Amino acid sequence: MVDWSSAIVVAVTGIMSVFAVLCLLSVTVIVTGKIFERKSKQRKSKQESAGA
Amino acid sequence: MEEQIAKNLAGMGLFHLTAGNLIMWAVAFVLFYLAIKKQIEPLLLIPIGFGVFIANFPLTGLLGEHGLFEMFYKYGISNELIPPLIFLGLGAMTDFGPVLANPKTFLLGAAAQLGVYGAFFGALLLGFTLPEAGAIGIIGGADGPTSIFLSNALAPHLLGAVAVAAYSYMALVPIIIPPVAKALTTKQERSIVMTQLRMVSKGEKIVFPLLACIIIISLVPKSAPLISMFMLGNLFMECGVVERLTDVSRNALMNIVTILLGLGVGSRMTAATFLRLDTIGVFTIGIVAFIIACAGGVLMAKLMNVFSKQKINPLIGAAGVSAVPMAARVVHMMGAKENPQNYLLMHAMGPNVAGVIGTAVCAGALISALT
Repeated sequence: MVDWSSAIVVAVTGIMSVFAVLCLLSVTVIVTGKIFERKSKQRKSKQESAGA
Repeated sequence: MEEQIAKNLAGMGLFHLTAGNLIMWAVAFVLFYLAIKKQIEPLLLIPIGFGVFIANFPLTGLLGEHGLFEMFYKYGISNELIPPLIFLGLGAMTDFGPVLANPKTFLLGAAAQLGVYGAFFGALLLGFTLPEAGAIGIIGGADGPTSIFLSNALAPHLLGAVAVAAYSYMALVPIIIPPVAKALTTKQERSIVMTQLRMVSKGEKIVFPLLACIIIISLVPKSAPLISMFMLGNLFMECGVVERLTDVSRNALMNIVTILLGLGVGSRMTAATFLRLDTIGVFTIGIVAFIIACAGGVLMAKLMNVFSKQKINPLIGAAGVSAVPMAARVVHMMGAKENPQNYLLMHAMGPNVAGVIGTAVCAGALISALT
């Protein structure tokens, strides 16, 4: 006899975990991407001003 | 003397062969045929096939307490050593660039995991227990090492069937994805040309495996064996200062553990454990899992298009099933067929590698819930 309530809990928590993890990763990557982009721009402008 | 002859004859395996053994040899030969003639996953199907072949000789003792194949299984698979080592090698071969350039595609990798849970319910309906259903469901993730890792943890008696089903369906990606993706998209959607991905800096690529470990392992600790090794391999590759470790992870070590994994899995497929109705159930549910996974990714991409200004080609959602890089290649070819201007390969690699992470997370979540 299948314990359907346990099965539903397993599925719901599992799906939520996967989406939570990958959403959080997605947000983190967006933020780190922005930070790295800003740093690279700052470095470029510093190099340009040093060159001038 | 007669007694001695009778004893010697009785010790010959030939007289102990059963019809089941012969059927399993036929299964092994099919695996050899697929690997050698059709070039389908040969690196795994040859050792698995050979494991099946030899394990079905009677009286060898290979599967006895101190038997050679039993050792491979006990010290490689049963204690969950080999799948994480395979992940180390995979990490050292994976370029996260496409998913870092377009982080939205992480969601496509997540949506493709719906196949795992769809199949989980399907397996329950067929009468499998909760842990067995979890082990069968993971076939939908289309990730061989993860399937082996999870089925060993939840339902070791289904290990052989789950592993062969997972690798078979991975090999059938070019046949399974196109009809599913086509049925769920219009020609116009399949023709969407995606903008070129931004360049991802080396720093981002180095930081990513560490951030991914922090997020994934803190939220789903049981995924640590797979995720930690995957990210370590990737860190080896991206940091650029441990060439030797990168090389050994993706070549020598990977090849050695692949042999042991294949033989260990194949040796579990004896007539007694494989020729059962359960096996048919595993294969049936496995394909359902795969179809739901492809559909989940495509539908998620369509949903994202409703809310996003920058449209994505929904075909890339189908690459959310892991099967790296074959799923991405299939999607790329489908897109190019609809619109020759379309170059979807790198875009599809995003959900493809996100799918690997998603499947490992699913496995971790199922282990915590079901053990």
